Parts: sequence; C-alpha cells; structure tokens
Amino acid sequence: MEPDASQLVRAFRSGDKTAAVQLIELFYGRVYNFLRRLAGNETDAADLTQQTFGRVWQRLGSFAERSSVSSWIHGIAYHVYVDWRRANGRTEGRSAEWWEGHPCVGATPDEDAASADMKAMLYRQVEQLASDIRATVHCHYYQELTLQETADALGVATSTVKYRLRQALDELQSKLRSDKSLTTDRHR
Amino acid sequence: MNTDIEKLLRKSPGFTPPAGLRERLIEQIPGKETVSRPSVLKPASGGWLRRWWPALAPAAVSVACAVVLTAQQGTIRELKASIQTLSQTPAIESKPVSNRAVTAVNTSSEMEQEINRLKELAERLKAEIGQLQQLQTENVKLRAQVAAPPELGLTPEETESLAKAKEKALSIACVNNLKQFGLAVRVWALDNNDSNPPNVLSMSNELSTPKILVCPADTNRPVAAEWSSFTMANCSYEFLVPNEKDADKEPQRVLSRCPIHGHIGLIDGSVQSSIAKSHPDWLVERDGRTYMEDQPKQPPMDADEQRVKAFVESYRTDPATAAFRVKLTDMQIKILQDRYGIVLTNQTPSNQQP
Repeated sequence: MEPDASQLVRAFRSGDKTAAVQLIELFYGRVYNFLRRLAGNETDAADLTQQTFGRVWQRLGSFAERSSVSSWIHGIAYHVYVDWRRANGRTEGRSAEWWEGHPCVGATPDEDAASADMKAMLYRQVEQLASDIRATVHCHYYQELTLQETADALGVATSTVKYRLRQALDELQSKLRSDKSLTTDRHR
Repeated sequence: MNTDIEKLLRKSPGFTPPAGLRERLIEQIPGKETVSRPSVLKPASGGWLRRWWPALAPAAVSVACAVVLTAQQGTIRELKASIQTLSQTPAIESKPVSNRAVTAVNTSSEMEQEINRLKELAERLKAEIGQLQQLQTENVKLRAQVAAPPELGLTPEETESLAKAKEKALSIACVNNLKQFGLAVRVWALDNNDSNPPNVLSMSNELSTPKILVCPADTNRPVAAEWSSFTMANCSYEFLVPNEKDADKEPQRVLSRCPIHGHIGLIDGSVQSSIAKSHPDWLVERDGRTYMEDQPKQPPMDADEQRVKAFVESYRTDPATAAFRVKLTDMQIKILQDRYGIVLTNQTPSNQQP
C-alpha cells in the first residue's frame, strides 16, 4: 500500500527525514519519466529531476496543500523543464528515430504490426504538437494525472486542459490519417 | 478513433531512472531547519492591521472627533456656568476680581447694551405700527368714499359731468344696438329674396340676443332674457320698414328709430345720432314712408362768425389768454355766448373794440 503523499509532506515538515525518502521513492520515477519524455535524453532528465526535487524541498514550506502533492511536484517539474529549455535555447520535439527506438511497453510479438507502426507514428506526432498542448498530453496521458491535477500542475483551468486535450486528439487524428494515406501511396 | 488514440497515449513507453539517481536525490534532502511551515499558515506580524486598517482608520478619526467635541462641550458648559454665576453677583464688588470675572462683567454689559438697543427697536416698531394703523384707517375711509354714491363725494359740477358722461355712454350703446338691428334686417333680407322681416321677432336667428332691442336709457321697459319670452313690449325701437321688398334701393329711408335718443337707423345700415331730436326737420314723410333728407348746406360764415370761431379755437388752447389774443366785438361776444355758451367775465375795454 502506497503511503499518502500529504501525510508524508506533513511528516517531513515535522522533521521525519524518512518521509522525504518515501516521497522520493513515490515520485522520482514518474518525475524522471515526465522529464525524460520532455527533455529527450537521460542525462538532462536526471539533472532536471534533481533540480525538481531540490526545488521541492525549498518550497515545501510554502506548500499550502491546495492541490495534490502529485500535481504540485509535476508543476515544479514542468517549470524546471521550461526554465531549462529557455536557458539552453532548446528546440521543441523529439526525433522520429528516438521514438522508433522506444516501442510501447507491454507490446507482445503477436500484436498487430500496423498497430505498432501507428503507435510510433502517434508518439512522433505528439512531439510535433505545440508546447503547451504537448505538456498537457504528457501530464494527462503519459503521467496519468487527472484533469484537475494536470490543471494544477500547469497552472491553468480545468476547462483549458480539456480544450487542449480535445485539440491534441483532433490534431493527432488528422495527422495520423494523412500519414497513413502517404504510407499507403508509397507502398503502391 | 479518439478513444483509440487515448488508449495508445496512455500506453506510452516508460523509462527506468538511471542508477544512482535515487541516492543522489536522497542526499539532497535538507535538514529540519531548512523546511519550515507554510508561510500562509503563519500570518505575518501586523497582518490583521493591514487587513482591517480601512475600517479602523475612519473609526479612529470618529473617536478622535468625539473626544474633541466632548472636551469642547465641557469647556463651553464651564464657561456658561461661570457667566451665570457672575451675572448673579453684583456688578461692582469691593474685592478684586479675576480675569474671568472681568470678562463676564464685560459680557453682561454688552448684553445690557444689546437689550437697550432691542428696546429702542421695539419702540420704533411700535411707532411704525401706530402710523400704519392710521394709514389703514384713512384707507378704509377713502374706500368707503369711493364705494358710496357719487353724490355723496362729488361736487355738483362733477356730478353733472358724470351724468353727462353716463348719458353719452348710454347713447353710444343705443347707437350700437340700432346698428346691430339694421344689420340683422339686412341679413334677413338677403336670406329672403330682399324682403324685410315682417316683425322683430322674425329676426331671432339674426340677432344674438333680445337684450339689444331695449335702449339702455329705457329703464321702464323690461328686458327679455330669451326669445321665447320676447314680446313687442320688450322692444324700445320702432321698426319702420316691415315686410317690404327691395327697400334697400332707397338708402335714405329710415329703417328704425330710438324714441328716447332720437337716433335713426337707415336702410343702408348706418345710424345717425340724435337726428330725430336735433334736426327733426331732416326727417320727411312721403307716401307713408320716412326718409332722411340730405343735410341742408350751411350758409357761408360771415366775418363775425369767423372771428368767433378763431376765438373759440384759441380759447380751447388756452382759456386764460384767449381774450387778449383774439379781440371780439359786442356782436361777436353775443355770438360766442349764444352759439358756444362761453361767457367772458373779465372783459377789458380793449375787448369792446373790434
């Protein structure tokens, strides 16, 4: 049974260092995955994860528990990523090769080959989305945050999150269709 | 399709954190001192003051004003009490008085002066009221004189002139009545083939009211208020051309006559004033019809009459000096007396000369 994040925060505030260790174990994998997908490489993702938790410890005193701990930490991670991207002049998007080298976890050999192609294409297309829409997709689908948690993490309204997700799905759908038609034409 | 995309997105590839990351993160954990309670839970010192100052500031000002007013009221009450005390004590005291007492004495003397001034003002007002009452009494007397009959307040000359004016006004009203009568006859004739009405009652539609058929000077004749009660007893005027056709072709024919004033109304609608009395010879009877002959030509004035006329014009301009400016002979003075009724009382010898 996973410990409650809010209780861990309170425990750490009261001086329990093991609560902080438990918080790290609870969130560092998800934060790393979130930043790994956004940053695109392991080294940067590890550095950003460290920065994220450093900022978490700094701001834990001002955390008023108006949102969940998960969305709060994701919000810090997202802002750390944005600061890092601005500071280094990074460009958006991952290379298609990167996503092709990282197939979907849990895919079985007997899964449809077309489905695998579609997944790779889909993840590629996600990286081509606008940054705010992409971050919303990452938070909600990849990090499995709820709509409210996503809104809290990104500092926007829930309605904005819904709107961005709807926009992302429509855009992905249209791009997948055009890609499919192109592939079919090539095969012919 | 969107549902499939959502499913695929939820199954996106995951990553295993690199080895040593967990340890590095654990090393970063700060000590107890660096982690503090949330700042929002600890209100800053003076926070309540910052929140409540908009309400507290006016309240503080109000309290300050109340304190100042209370202090002022206390001072005023104290001064009033001292004034009252000093006004009860004799004005001149043998023992020395304090500064405050001197001020109070001065104030009481000022009040006495004010009272004296007000008394004088009251006396003046009383005198003015007396004068006003006198004026009112005179006014009442004058009103009574005005309201009283003219004989009571007027001299005989004034009464005579007033009677003449009244008679003249009645005469003018009578002329007006005859004109309306003549007009009504003309209107009736136009509507009835140039035939005159058979009687006065036939013109009830043409005359506005039967009241105009009574001469204002005819006080013995009753006035009919409505045509329904009208009889010939309610008519002062004589209708001389009843029931005749084309009577308007003889413009000198007399249509109506007032037996009181002697005014005559002609067929053409005109009214000649007092002709029947002043010049009865101008009215001529021919074939039972009454005509007004043309006015006879006046004989040319002789030298005496011209002289008298010049005197009368001068007399009208300035009666006091007329006798000196225009000399008259005895004959001319007689003409003046007979024709114009002017009597020269202060005749000088020169007046006797031509």
